Amino acid sequence: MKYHLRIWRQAGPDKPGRFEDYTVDNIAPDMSFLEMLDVLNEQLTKEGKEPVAFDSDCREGICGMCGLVIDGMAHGPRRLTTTCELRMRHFPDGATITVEPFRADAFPIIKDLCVDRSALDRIIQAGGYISVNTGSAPDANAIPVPKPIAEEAMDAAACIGCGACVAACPNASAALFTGAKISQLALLPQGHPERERRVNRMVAQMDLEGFGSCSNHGECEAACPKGISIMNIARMRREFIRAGVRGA
Amino acid sequence: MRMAKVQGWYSTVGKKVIMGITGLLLFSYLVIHLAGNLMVFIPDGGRSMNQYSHFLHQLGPLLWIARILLLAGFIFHIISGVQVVLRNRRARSNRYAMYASKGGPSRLTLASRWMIITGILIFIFVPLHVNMFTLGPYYETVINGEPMRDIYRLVVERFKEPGVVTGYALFMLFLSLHLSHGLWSALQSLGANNRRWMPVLYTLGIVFSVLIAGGFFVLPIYTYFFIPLP
Ligand code: HEM
Ligand code: SF4
Ligand code: FES
Repeated sequence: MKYHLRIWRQAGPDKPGRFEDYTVDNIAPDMSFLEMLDVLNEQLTKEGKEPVAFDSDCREGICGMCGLVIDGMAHGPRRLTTTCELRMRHFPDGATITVEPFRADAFPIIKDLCVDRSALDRIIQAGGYISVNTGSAPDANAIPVPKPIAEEAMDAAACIGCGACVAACPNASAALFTGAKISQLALLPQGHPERERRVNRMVAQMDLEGFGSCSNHGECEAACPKGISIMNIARMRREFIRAGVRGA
Repeated sequence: MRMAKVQGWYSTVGKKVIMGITGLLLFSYLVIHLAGNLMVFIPDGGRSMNQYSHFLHQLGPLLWIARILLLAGFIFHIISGVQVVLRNRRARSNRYAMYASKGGPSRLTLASRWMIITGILIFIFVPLHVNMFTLGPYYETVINGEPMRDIYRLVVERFKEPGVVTGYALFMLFLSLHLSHGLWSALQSLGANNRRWMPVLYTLGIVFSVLIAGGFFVLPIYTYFFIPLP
């Protein structure tokens, strides 16, 4: 199959960017979107041109490293799919595909389609952990957790930190990511001792990084490859109000 | 940015809590206001409506407390709304060349994207509206031997002007847009939502936005066509 690509090229963080047009041919329908870009890069290298920089690691939808805005949608048109798992058969032969980086001021562009998402790491560093003394591991079932709660926490913990929620949000808000990270701990007894401190610090860090505010558009949930629910944003707000009422 | 500036009510989450509380406060006022206004439909030459209005004005300090509360809510809602919108614009200074919704669970609508526009239109409407009625000409009437303001007459008079009726009805469409996203959004901002209730609350939000704004929409049109000048 043949595709016309309109790809955002940008030499560095403060350099001006622009779209460049490319054409790739002989693409197999089972190739992933990233494999298609690999083909393009081989072609560019042979022509002595600079290949397109893009991020990836596991290429099996679990690491959260890949992420492109394809035809205006974070991770492309398929729901519950990372860019690395998106197959070329979902694009008609001969289509023109627009590829842009995740755009948010909190995600500065490193080069071409690579963006710096370390702002998300700093939100976790601000409070997305449980403080425990190291030593022998506690008994697995010493603290009982009801099954529905454990599942809810697991669902929130499915977040791979890809940042598609930020990319898809009209406000570039990180509320879904932060909500998921707060929820996975707020739901479990192990997370309770630090819950007020955690929500206050993580929300403050999220704001310091320059992400937008959540207007409840819900576009993040639609773009999230792990289907993280915006109910986690509601839970973050409950945690926040709870901490406020308790004067924490 | 200092830490204190992003904590508590200054944070983006806190601002949305303020927006949610003040939005619901303003909405609850709209419900009461509409209930009062629906008395225009009672075919008794305005007796019920004038008596209700007279009753409200006799509340004295209570009326003023309500007015101050509403004004404060309005101001806080607007300040937070403008701050939030400005922040959101700064959060993505380089726009996408192409942007599309992925559908599915997304609640991205014209209404949700236009909150600031419909909000500003409401902001323009409210002073005009207060100036037209509350601060408008004072007609007097006597009901059961008691002199009182004939607000009914003023309302019917104004709603006989085609320009007023059209403008009024148009603004109510904007209000309904604001509320169709605003109502469920306020609950979500306050954390009053969960997986099971989400579809119910979203639907109820739209139903109430249509009912309330619809009530205010029908009122002037009905008056124009069917209610005689007193
Ligand atoms: C009758 C008057 C009004 C009512 C009943 C009302 C109601 C609401 C409600 C319930 C919300 C949802 C709050 C939330 O998501 O937490 C909302 C949001 C909003 N309102 Fe109003 N509102 C009114 C007037 C205004 C005015 C005058 C403005 C002026 C700028 C405004 C601007 C906004 C904005 C920008 C949002 C969305 C905030 C965001 O994107 O997160 N509203 N409104
Ligand atoms: S919430 Fe979803 S979209 Fe956002 S970072 Fe986590 S996995 Fe990616
Ligand atoms: S490369 Fe790991 S999730 Fe896509």
